[in-house]
Amino acid sequence: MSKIEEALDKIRNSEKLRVSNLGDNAEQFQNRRLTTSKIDSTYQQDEPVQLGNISDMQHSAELSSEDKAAARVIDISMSDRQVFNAFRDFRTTISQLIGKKSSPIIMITSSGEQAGTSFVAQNLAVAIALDETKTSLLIECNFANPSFKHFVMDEEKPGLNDYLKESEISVEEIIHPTGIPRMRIIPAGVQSYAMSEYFTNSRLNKLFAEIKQRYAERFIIVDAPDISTNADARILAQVCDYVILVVPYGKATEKQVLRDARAIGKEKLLGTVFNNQPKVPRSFRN
Amino acid sequence: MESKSSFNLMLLMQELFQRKFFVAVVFAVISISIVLVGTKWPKQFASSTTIFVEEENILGPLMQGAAVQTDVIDRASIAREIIFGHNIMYKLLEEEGLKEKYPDPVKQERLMESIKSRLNIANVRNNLIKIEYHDGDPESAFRITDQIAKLFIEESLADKSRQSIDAFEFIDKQVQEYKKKLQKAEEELEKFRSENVDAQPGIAGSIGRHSAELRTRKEQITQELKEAKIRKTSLKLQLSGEAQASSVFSRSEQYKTRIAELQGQLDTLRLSYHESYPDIAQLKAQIQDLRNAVVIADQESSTNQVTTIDERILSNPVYQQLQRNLYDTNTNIQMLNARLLHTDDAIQKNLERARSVEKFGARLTELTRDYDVNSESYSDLISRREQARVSMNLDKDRKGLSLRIDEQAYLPHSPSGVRFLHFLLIGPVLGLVIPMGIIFLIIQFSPAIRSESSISEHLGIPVLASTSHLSTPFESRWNIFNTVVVLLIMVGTISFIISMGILRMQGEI
Repeated sequence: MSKIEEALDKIRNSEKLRVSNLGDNAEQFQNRRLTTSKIDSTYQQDEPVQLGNISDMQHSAELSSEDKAAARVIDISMSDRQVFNAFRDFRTTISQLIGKKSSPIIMITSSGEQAGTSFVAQNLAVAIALDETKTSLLIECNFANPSFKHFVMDEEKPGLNDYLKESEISVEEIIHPTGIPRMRIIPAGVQSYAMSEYFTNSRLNKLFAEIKQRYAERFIIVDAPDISTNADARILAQVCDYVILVVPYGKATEKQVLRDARAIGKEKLLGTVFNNQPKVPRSFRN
Repeated sequence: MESKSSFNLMLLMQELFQRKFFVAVVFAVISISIVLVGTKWPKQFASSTTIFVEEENILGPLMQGAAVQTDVIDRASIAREIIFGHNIMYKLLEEEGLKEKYPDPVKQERLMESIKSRLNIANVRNNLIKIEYHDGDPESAFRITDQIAKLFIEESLADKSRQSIDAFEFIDKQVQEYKKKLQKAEEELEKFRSENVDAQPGIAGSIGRHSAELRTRKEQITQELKEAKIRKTSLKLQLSGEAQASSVFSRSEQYKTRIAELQGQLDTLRLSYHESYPDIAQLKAQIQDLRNAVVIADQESSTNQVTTIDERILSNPVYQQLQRNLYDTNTNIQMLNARLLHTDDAIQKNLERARSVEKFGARLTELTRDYDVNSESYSDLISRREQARVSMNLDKDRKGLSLRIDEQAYLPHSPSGVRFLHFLLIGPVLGLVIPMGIIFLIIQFSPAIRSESSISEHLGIPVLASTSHLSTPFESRWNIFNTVVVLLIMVGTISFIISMGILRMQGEI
């Protein structure tokens, strides 16, 4: 195990300790599960007036290893080191590519459907949040296939749709903790599917601008639908700073990938993630 | 290149594991069905026989030099022609009793085709034809092979005998033709000879000889004539000399003496020649002349009184002798002249004959040549015809064998061809190769991206990360269950195949 991993393990252990210490917080969390979509005032501490300090961030009860495994969320203690390491390397690569730019909005989209965009987006956000100096915000824009219920305790909480449709809802009301330290989420929302015209809505721009203001070391990850068949994704791409294209193994063709890359544009496309590579039992590798 | 192929192998492995269920099911279905086919596969028994073919053809020695023979090379294909012909096939059906069993000609045709498809005829070596036949029943494999070889030899010999009869008939026809030609030539020659008497062999030579003879005779006569003339001149000179010395006898006396002499000569000649002989005629004419002269002299002496006749001259023996000689010489000259004329005539005639011989000589040579050539060919053909007759009789009695069975057909005891063991081995191999091949083809020809490098290298877009599917605990369990099922299918299939093999060995299938 590398030194970095050892350090990370230490961090994790200390966090666990902290969570157990915050027994009242956990209780509060349990209570919250019973309440409806009403926003708890305790979580509104998330928004400082000035740029926030990450160490001051509130934590909700952490997701258990079993929950993570069931939701395909990477975890430092997981047995599949390959995937875990892949995401950690991925995170490092991205921060190297982006450099000093604060609060970058990175959109994750894919070539073709069922490419595992949400899987890549959530785990990238998780991997970023592993770093104690960084925080991540996952925005669920894939309304057709919402897949982040596990981060909001399987509850219906106000999200992006609600924000875009109703002007009285504030940004604070739609940002929720995830059960992962230093990671927040804006879910799709309670209301039904927003049409693409909402993305052209000035509210979206306002939202993005506001989010950027919150933490300097925050990575905003947008989980978008696939760009090959979806116009929403193209509109979203224009609002975001960077785009990462997920290429599913054995599904997308080179032609399709090239077309999607052109649709995104060179200046925004950070690169691709090759997903769903089939696994071969260890004894057969090499 | 190497890295690429190993990469492809890795890809193949990935895909195989991803589609393990498909691979296992295809493996089971293919190998089990192949093994099941193997159990039903009919056993094949093959029997073969070889036939030795002698090089020589019947017409070869017969027509040696007279005609050029074409070479026969591919004996197997000729044998195939003969065996696959309807003749032998029908006989075979008859012998096998299939003709009565299946009177429908369409069915018979199909039977023949099936026999043909199971027959294999090949040249083993230059002069050996191998006939191989396989059948589900060892008995009939043996019987049909044997039968075909026999029928083939029979048919070939019949064909050969037909050939030699043809050869004989052909030569015989030629003989008849030449006979006619020869007769015609003979007739023509005969006719020509009867038209031209001189048309004898060597006539030109004899004419030449004859004319040379005549020419010599003519020269001889001319020479003699010249001599006689010279003698006459000299006798005349001598006589005039004598006249001065001796007086002349009375003319009539002289004439009378002369007549008596001539009469004597005439009588002598008449003893050996005909009246027509020129000398006799000459003498006769002289005697007549002298008699006339005597009459004239007598009249003169009576009218002119006494002529001065010098008795002394008349009685001079030298003068008389000379006179006689002179007469003789005259006579001789006249005789020689007559002979000269005669010879000239003969020469002329001979010349004419030579001319006519020249004219028909060319035609005669032609006719003779025709005759000679025809008679030569005729006698040659007659001797050939006798040879052909012998060959024909040989073939009739099947004595001049040029085909014989070298190796007899045998009764096969163990089956040949594809065996159950082959099916047992091929089944699992194909069962693995086919799904792997399908997957390989999918990888090769599907345009979908299956490797990082096709994005980063072909498209030039950086690949930031490469991950595989992260299974949930439930998925992992499902995966393990799947793997177990796949393993069970594989093991089950293999044990089925092995048990089939064992059962076969024990003779239960």
